[in-house]
Amino acid sequence: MHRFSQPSESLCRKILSPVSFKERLPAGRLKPPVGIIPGDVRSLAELRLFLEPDNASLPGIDLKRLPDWIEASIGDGELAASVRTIVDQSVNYVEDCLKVYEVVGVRLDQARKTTREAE
Amino acid sequence: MQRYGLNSFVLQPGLHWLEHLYEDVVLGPGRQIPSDLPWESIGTLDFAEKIVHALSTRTDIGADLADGWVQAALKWGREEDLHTGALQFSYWGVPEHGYDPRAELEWGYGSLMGDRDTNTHCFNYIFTNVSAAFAFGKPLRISAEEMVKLHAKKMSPYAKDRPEVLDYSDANMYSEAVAQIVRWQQHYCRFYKNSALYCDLKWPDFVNTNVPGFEGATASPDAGEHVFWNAVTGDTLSFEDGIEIGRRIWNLDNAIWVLQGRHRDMVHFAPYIYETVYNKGEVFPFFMWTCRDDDGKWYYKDLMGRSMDKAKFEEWKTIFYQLEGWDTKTGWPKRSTLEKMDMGFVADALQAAGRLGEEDS
Repeated sequence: MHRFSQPSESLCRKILSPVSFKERLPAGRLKPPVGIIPGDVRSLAELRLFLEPDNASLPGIDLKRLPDWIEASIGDGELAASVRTIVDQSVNYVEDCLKVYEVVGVRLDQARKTTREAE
Repeated sequence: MQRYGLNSFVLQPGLHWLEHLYEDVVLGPGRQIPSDLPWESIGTLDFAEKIVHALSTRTDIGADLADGWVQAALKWGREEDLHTGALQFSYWGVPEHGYDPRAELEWGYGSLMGDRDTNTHCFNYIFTNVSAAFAFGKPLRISAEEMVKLHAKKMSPYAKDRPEVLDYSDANMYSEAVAQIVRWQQHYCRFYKNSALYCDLKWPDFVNTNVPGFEGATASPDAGEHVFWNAVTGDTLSFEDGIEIGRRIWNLDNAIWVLQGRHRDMVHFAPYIYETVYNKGEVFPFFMWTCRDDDGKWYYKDLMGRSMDKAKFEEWKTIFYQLEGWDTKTGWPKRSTLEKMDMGFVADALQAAGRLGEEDS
C-alpha cells in the first residue's frame, strides 16, 4: 500500500475538485475494432475511473505528461512525484497505468476520509 | 438512439466539439450560437436524451446539426475548428474513426478517395495488435518483416510480393506503393465485403498465428475467399476475378460521384490533417505500424507526431488517378478505362453529362 503524508483540508478540496475545461487532460480509449475513442479527464476521480482495468479496452493517456498535470492543474505535488516515479521506473505501459490507478485511488480515499472527518 | 434512427458515431467526436464551444462561451443560452439545452449537465443521461431529441426533431441546435455537423460549423462561422482540430471530421463531413489519416494511411486515403469513412478493417489490426503488444510489454510473435511479407504474398494482383505497400514511414507515405494498397483494399472490399458480404473483421485473413508459417486463408487455393464463393454459387471465380469485379464496382461508384459533381479539386482532408500534428499522447500513447528504416530494415514504428503535407498528398492523388486510369486533372474516369471493363455505357453517361475524363494525348 502506498503511503502519502496527511493532506491539508484545502489540498483535499483540490484533490476532489474538477479542473477547468482548458486544463482538461486528453485521454482516449483503444477499443478494437471501434478504434481510438477520444476523450478527456477533468479530475482525479475521473482519472481513476478512466484507468480502471477493463478486459475489452485499453486506456490511452500520456503518462509522461500526467505528473505535470497533477502538479500544475490539481495542485498535488506529492501525488505527482509518486506518479513520476512510476513513469521513471516504467515496467510497461499497462503495468504503469495499473500502478497509477492504485496510487490515485489511495490519494482519493485519503482526501475523502479527511473531508468527511472535517465535516 | 436506435429508435430515433440516428448514427451515434457522429456524437463521439461531435459532443467534444460542442462541449468545447460551450466552455468557450460561444454556445449556450443567449450566446453567439443560441441553445437552451442543459449544457451544464453535459455527460448526463438527461442531457443525452435532450440533444438526441433536438437532433431528431430539428429543434434547438438540432435545426442546424441535422443538415450535417460540418455544414453547421460553417453556418455558425466556426471554420477555424476544422483548422485547429477542435472539430475532428476528417473527410467528407464525417468524423474521424479512431484511425487517424496522418498515421493509418490506407484508412484515411481510402476514405478520401471514396465517399465516406471507409470502415473497412482489412489492415488496421496491425495497429491494434502491435500497439496492444507494446502496451503490455509482450514480445511480438511476428516480426515486422515477416508480417509484411505474409501480407504481400496475398495481395494479388496489385501488390503481390510487394511488402513496401505496408511501409507507412514518412519517406514512403506518398508513394505509388501506398496507392496500390489503397486500390487493393477498395477493390477487394467492393466485391468481397460490400457485395458478397464477407465479414469485415474476419476477412481478409492475412495472418494466422495458430498455424505453422502463420499464413492466413486469404487467396489460398483451399480456403480463400473465392473457394467459399464458388462452393455456394457454382462459379469458377479466381481470387483475382473477385478483385476485378470489385474494381468495376469501384469505378461505377466513382462515376456516380462524378455525375454528382465530384472533381479532384474537392478531394481534400479537413485542414487540421495538414495543419496540425497528430500529437503523441493526444488520445493514445503510440500508433504502431510497419515501416522501413533508412537502411531498408523493417521494424514497428510509432507513427504519432506527424501531419500530412498537402502538396505531397496532391502528388499522391495524381499517382492514384493514373493507376486507376482516371483523368489526373479532374479525377474523372476515362472512356478507355471504362471500355476495358465492359462499361462503355458508363462512359456514355459521363460524356452526356460533360464529365468524361480526357484521354492522354
